[in-house]
Amino acid sequence: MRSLLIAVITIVFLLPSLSSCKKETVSKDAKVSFSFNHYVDGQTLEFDTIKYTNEAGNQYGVSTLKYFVSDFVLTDADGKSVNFEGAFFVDAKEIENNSFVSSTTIPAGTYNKLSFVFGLNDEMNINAAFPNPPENIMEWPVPLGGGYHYMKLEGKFDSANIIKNFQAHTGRLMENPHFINISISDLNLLIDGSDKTINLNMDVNKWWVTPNTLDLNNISGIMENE
Amino acid sequence: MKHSVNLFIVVLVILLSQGCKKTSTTEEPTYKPTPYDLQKPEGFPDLFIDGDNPMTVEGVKLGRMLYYDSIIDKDNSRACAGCHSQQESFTLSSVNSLAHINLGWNGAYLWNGKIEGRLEDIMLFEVEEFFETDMSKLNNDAIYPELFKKAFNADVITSREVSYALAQFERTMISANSRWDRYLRGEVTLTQAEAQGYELFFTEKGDCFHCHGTILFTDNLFHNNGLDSLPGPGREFISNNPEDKGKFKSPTLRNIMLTAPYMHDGRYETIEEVIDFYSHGVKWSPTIDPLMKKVGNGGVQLTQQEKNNLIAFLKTLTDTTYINNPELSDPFAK
Repeated sequence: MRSLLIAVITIVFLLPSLSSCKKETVSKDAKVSFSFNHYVDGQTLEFDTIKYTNEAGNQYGVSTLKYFVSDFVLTDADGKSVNFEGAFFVDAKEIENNSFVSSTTIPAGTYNKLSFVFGLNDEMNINAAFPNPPENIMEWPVPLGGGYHYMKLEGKFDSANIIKNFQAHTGRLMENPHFINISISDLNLLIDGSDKTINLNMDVNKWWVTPNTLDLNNISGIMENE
Repeated sequence: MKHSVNLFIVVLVILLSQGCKKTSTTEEPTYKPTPYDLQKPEGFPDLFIDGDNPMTVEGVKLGRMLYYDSIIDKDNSRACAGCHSQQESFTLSSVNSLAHINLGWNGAYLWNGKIEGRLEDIMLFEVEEFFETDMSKLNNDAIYPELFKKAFNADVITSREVSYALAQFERTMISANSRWDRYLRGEVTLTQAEAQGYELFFTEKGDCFHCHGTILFTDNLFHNNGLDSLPGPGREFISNNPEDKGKFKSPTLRNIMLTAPYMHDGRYETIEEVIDFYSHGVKWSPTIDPLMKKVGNGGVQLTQQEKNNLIAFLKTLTDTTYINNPELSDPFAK
């Protein structure tokens, strides 16, 4: 199982607190946005250009990067949790599909832990759960177990001066779910009345190295049982 | 005496004219459109209809008439139906026009996606740029002004109302009753060949589903599927992005057996030729889609039996109720 990718988290203040002349207590609750950013070795991902080198020495470029993330949970120092129900679809090429504002208001406090699922848990990964575009094109056919792709990472690489295609599709293969639980325990997110953004940064190159180093010359298609 | 007669005639004429006026007033077309209850088939994506063009019985009826009427052509020589025959799933083999089928779920139109947006947008393009509709013909027609008044409260017909009516009718052009749909509803079972073809289609072996998946049998995206080693511009013609060279919109495979010839340029006359291409004839070019993962071998390398099974499955996508639906047929036919 490949682990990824969510390497760095930064917190950005979105809006300054608004002062109020009213005497009643001003709520310190706030909303949180999750913003997904995509990098290769620290550089912002550029699509459709073979300019990156992975651990195995493959020069490659990315044409498609789409994935689901779900089950976001923030936990404070006392162990109290805020759950964000549902799944988010990220299309790294489309900026409007790269960030999401929580519909849930977060109670004031300090949150140390963020956990989420890269992909969909079995409860969400059911046929026809996402009938509308753009999510519906992540459909994972019934003969392959049904549900949805967790991720589509596609592109081209240089194989001894011959350009070839690669495809890395993850999902539940029959009974094997393959989703990834991600937990970050040093979040230190202070909710004190201002809306916040949590930046989640994916480094694509980590896909090819953790836990095993992949050489695209040997495995250009991560599908089915490959 | 003569004056009396003349006076009588004048009074009679006035009375008659008043009578005519009164009758005319009561027959004035009124704008009380009846909402059209468009049913979304089970499992299909939501159908988004903007509030500025709600579906109405009057609008759909008018759109259907316009679809079949060459009055919308500036030379009165062409109608939508001229290149989109119902018996061919609203395409026409001789001109390789794209099939009009489930277009309500599209967001980009024509092979290279020249027009993006709503059905109203592509219809406006057709009215203003393809047909170059002469609005005076519609405004001076014996029947259309009343129908536009009833459908859109339009006192003057413009390209907007024409495109909106056509869009309403196009939204009713829904195919969801093929043998495959009936299988999904549990009404029929697939033959062994159909079932094996289905499995080929939806697994990596045949690998059709990445571009022709979902209930619509299209991802509605643009791909270079490896037709040529030196592809033409395709989507690049619109986007000016060299990465889009040779990319064309994935057509739906619903009713695919009725919509020959195939590919954007109609180069293949039969479905067998298409499957041979994907099996052995795929060519490399710099913008070929990464999903064409067997291009190094020329394609997915299907056996003859597998090809036969795949065709058996594709035949299950034929919806004869669609091509015989009287509500989509020529309203002027006798």
